[in-house]
Parts: sequence; C-alpha cells; structure tokens
Amino acid sequence: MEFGWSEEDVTFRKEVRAFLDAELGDEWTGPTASLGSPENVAFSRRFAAALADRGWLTPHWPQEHGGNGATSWQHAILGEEMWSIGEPRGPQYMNVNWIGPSIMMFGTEEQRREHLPRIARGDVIWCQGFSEPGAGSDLAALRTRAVRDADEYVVNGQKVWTSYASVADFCYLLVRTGAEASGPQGITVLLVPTTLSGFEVREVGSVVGDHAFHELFLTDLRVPVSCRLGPEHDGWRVVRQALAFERVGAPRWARAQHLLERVAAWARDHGELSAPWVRERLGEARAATEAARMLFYRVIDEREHDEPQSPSANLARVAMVDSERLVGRLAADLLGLAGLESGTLADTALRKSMAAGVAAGTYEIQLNMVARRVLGLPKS
Amino acid sequence: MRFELDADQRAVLDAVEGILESNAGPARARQLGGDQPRHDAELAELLRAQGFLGLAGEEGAGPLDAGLVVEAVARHAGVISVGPEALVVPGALGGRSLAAPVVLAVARTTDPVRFAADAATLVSVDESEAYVVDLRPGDAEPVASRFGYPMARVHRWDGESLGPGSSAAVRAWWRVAVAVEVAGVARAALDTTVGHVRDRHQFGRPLGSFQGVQHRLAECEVLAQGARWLALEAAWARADPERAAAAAAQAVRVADRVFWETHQFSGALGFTVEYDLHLWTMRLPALRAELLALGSPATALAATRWGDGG
Repeated sequence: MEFGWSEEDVTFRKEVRAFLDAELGDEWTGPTASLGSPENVAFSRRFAAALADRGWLTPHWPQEHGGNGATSWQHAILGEEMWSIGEPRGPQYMNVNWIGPSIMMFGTEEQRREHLPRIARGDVIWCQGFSEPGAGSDLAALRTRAVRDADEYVVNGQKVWTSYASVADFCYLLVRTGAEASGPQGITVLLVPTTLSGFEVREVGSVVGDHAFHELFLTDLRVPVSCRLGPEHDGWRVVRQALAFERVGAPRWARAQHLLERVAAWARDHGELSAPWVRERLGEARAATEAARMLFYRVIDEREHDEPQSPSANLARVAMVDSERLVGRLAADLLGLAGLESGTLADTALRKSMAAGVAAGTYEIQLNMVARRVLGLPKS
Repeated sequence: MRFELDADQRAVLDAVEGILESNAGPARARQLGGDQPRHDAELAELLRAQGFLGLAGEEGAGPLDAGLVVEAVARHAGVISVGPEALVVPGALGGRSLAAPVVLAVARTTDPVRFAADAATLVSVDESEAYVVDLRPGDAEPVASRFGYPMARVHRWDGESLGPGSSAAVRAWWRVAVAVEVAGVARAALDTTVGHVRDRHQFGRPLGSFQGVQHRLAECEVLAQGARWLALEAAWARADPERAAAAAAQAVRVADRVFWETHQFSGALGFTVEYDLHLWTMRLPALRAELLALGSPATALAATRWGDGG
C-alpha cells in the first residue's frame, strides 16, 4: 500500500494540462457548460479531434484500434482533468469509455471497421437508448419491441431521458426481441443510425440544463440485422460487459472540487470567506470530495491490476454523489438570493448537482449494491 | 499508487493481528473495565517489545505502516495510548525518544485527557508551541468517564518548549492519529451491527433485508471507507496539514454517523453491557471530541487551502 504518483503519471498530467490550456479558448465555458447545447457539441467535435491527433482520445484502447497502451491511471488522469474543467469531450466520453470497447468485444469485423475508427478520430456522436417510460432503474423491464422481418428488425417503442439524441449520429439501442415477460433474457443491442426513418427525436425541457433530455419515438424503424451487436436475446450480457468498462463512471468528484474552488473564490471576492460557517462548510465539502477521490482511485487501482469486478465502484459512486451535493448546497446557501439569477455560480452548481444521484444509475441502486455486495445483507 | 498491502505490510499486520487476537478484543476490554477501562500496560509492552509501535521511523517501514498498526489496535478495542507513540512522536518530534506511554493535550486544558493518569510523558500544544512535560504519579487525577478510555485531568504543565511554530506539526499528526483510530473503531462497530441485522429476524425476515436499514448502513460504509483511505493517505503523506485536516474532518463525520446508526439498528440490545457494540461505539464520541478540541478540522482544512479569508 502506498499513495504516490509515478513520475510518468506526474509528467502525463502536466502534459494534459498544458494541452488543455492551449486548446481551450474563451469559447469553452468550463464546468458550468450546458453539455448538450449545439455550440458545445460543435466545440466537443473539434476538441475531440484535436485530442485524437494527440493520441489522447482513446489512449487506453488496444493499439490495433487506435489506442497507445496507456495505463488505467493515465486514463483516469485524463478523465479527471477533463471533468474538472467541465468535460469538453462532451458526449464523446461515452463512446470512448464503453461503446467503443463494447463494439471491440462483441462487434463483427464490419462493425468494428465502421465504428471504431470514427470513435477514435472523435468525429462521431452516440447516444444511449436505454431508459423508457416504464423502465428506468429496472432497465430489464424495457418494452421497445424489435420483430425480425427477413434481414431487418422492425422496431416500435419509446425511449426517454436520452442525452445528446438531437445531435447524435448513432444510438446504442436496447430492444426486446424475446417474449414480453422475458426480462433480461430477451434483450438485444442494435447500433442504429439516427438518420433512419422512424427515428424521431423530441427535446424534453428540464430544470437541470438546456438540451439535456430527449424522447425517442421509434415507429416502424427498420434496422438491418447487420446492425445487431452480439447475439440476439443476449443484449443484457453485452450491455453489462460494456458497462463494466465504465465501472466507476465519470470522475464527478473532480468537477465538484473545481466548482468548490470557484465557490471559495466567490466567497473571497464577496468578503464572505472569513465567515465561520462558510469556512466550516467549505472544509466539510472539500473533505467529502477528497474521500470520493480516494474511493475512485481504489477502483482505478483494481482496474490497473485486472482484479475481478468488485463493488468498489458502487462505493465511489455514492461518495461522489455526497460530495457533489455538499458543493451544490453550499453554493446555493452562500449566494443566497443572488444565486437565483440565471447563470450565476449557484444556479449552475445546484443544477449540476441535482443530476448526480440520478444519472447513470441512481444513488439508491448504488446503495442496494453496497448493502448486498459489501455488507452481505439479504435482498429485500 | 496501490491500495492493497504489500508482502511486508501483510506480514507486519498479520503479526500485529495475532498479538491483538490473543491479547485484546472485547473479552480483554471487559476484563479491563468495559466502558471504564484501565490502561492495558501489558498489551502496550507486547507490541512495543516487538517493535510494532516504532514502525514510523524504521527502515523499510514508515508512518503508513504505523497507521495500519494504530488502526488495528483500535479495531481490536485495545486500551492503550497508541497514536501518540506510534505516529505523533516519531512524526512531529523526529528522533526524540520520550518515555511511554505518551499522551496529547491542548496546553493547560481543564478537560479530561485520554490515558493521562497512566502517562509518563505529556505532549501539549498551544497556538504556537508544543511542550514536552514529564508526568509523575499524581500529576493527573482520574476522572469518571464511560467512553471507553481511561480519562484524567492534568495538573502539571511545566515542560520543555519545542520552540515557536512547533505546535502545527503536532496538531497535524495528532489529527492523523485520531482519524486512523476512528477508522478502526468505526469498522468494528459497523461489522458488529451488520452481523446483527443479518441474524436478527423481525416480521419473519432479517432486519438487514429492509431497505430502510440497508441504505443507512450502506451510507455509513461508504463514509467509513472513504475516511479510512483519507486517514491512511494522510499518514503516508507525513501529516501534510491539508490532508491531515481533510482526514480529521471526514473522521468527525464518520464518528457521528456510525455512532448513531449502529446503535439505532442494534435496538435495546446495543445498550446492554453484555453486548460488545458499546466497547467500540462509546469511543466514537470521545475521539470526535478530541478532534474537535483541536478546533474544527473542516475549518482548519479551509484555512490551509484558502487562507484566512482576508
């Protein structure tokens, strides 16, 4: 046990920071950016291409697919540096972190040739068609139906809360090919071009940021069988393996720390930094982000050593939610009425924090996993 | 960075655990007086004789290894003043050899001090300086207390000053030492309660199958593990003031949450002295109070990171 960074990793982080300083102009609005806005998506395409040129979009991928054998720590450092400035890769972290690896693992030669180079170059955007009106945390209850018709699937159904759908080129879509009550056993993954007719996107207004959510209406959408990823009915295994690449998810603690720095700067600028309650809450939030950082690193350490999947990722996710909420709450309390004005630090910090416990698997699901897999408590 | 123990650390901890399993634990804590125990001089001597309290300054080991020992002693409910001897003296008073047991106090406090009546040396801190005080029998007078440690009020404060500015390092190491102790105590308390809710059936099912119980214990687990890594990292980082304060701030939170929740889910059983839980839980408010006596660690963390606010 030891907690030092290797010299290589320290150098790598310096290089990433220098690159970011050079690449991110005034155009990038940082950790308060609204990720799904057309401006930011356009920015993220340019930025990801520049990252790809530098070899840092998919560094952890195998060389044959455009990677350069980076360690899990370097992958994590990239994630930290990106998230701490608001994730300028935009939606591309999904492609890079798990959609690409999933295609590597389950894709046909043709699918790999079609998708992997584009993801590695950073010129494609994906969305994930998972949640449905009747299937959120209970994802295996999804009902969007795909019926085989010769060499096509005819898809009918609805998806919801889909981020980036209005700007995506492809959708990683979960459909039911098995009987209605087949649960996890009857699910299939389709890699669907969003340009197909019958793929309709409607933006859903939200309080957590503009352009955040969409509904997908899939009506007699005809998807070639060649777009199926992995075996029919076996999509649950495909997606579970895919998400295992993701494991811990985004290093949201890094963004929370960065936001907290801005909260402290606001307090200083407004003469509030010497107020005892502000100091107490700043310290409390900082400590929580640090605890989340350590639990996040624990997951990276396991990944680096190819250790079997463990519940460490669930612990880290819970701690990250805790830290994001402390930061969001402090920003709101500190700015008070001033924070009610749109675009202020508190306005954006609070809204960002709201999604922490819901996006990519709810806080309660993480707690269930901790209870079962760490504490060994029986299923309720 | 590596979160698993290496072979040397494993070997040391196995040996320490071996000693603790035979010479500490709930039965021994009861023998010493339960929630009002006397100092376990025999256990301290066993660990000291084999060098396990001197790892911080030893070749091939260091403060992280010392921290792991302190944590193990706390987890086994050992009744010794382990943090000051294993971490604070070697860390903050580099190279000095002080007569053990060593205890820590805020200078001239009239509040009770852990293990003071059994101590040979007191290290005290005021705002600026640290002092080494040789204690003689009668210099500290036992105080009735039921929080799992022998407590005493100190009457002798005259000692050698370690110079202006010497207090900061002692405070940082002190925070680390107590944060590590909290990690060990919280671990044992949580394990006890998790075992209870697995076994105890009500309404025809284990208590631990109720989501209302599961989620709160899961939150405790996340807090406890996070605080543990922060404390160990702070020990590894030789009590860097910011990390020490972060570890202490998180420890203060854990001590509070784990205390209330483990008792809540143990019901009336948890209040009885026949049941082990209190041997750990009643220590949590004591450790929390000791951390807060140094000033709020969250506020100290803010000061380290963002200055005085002016």
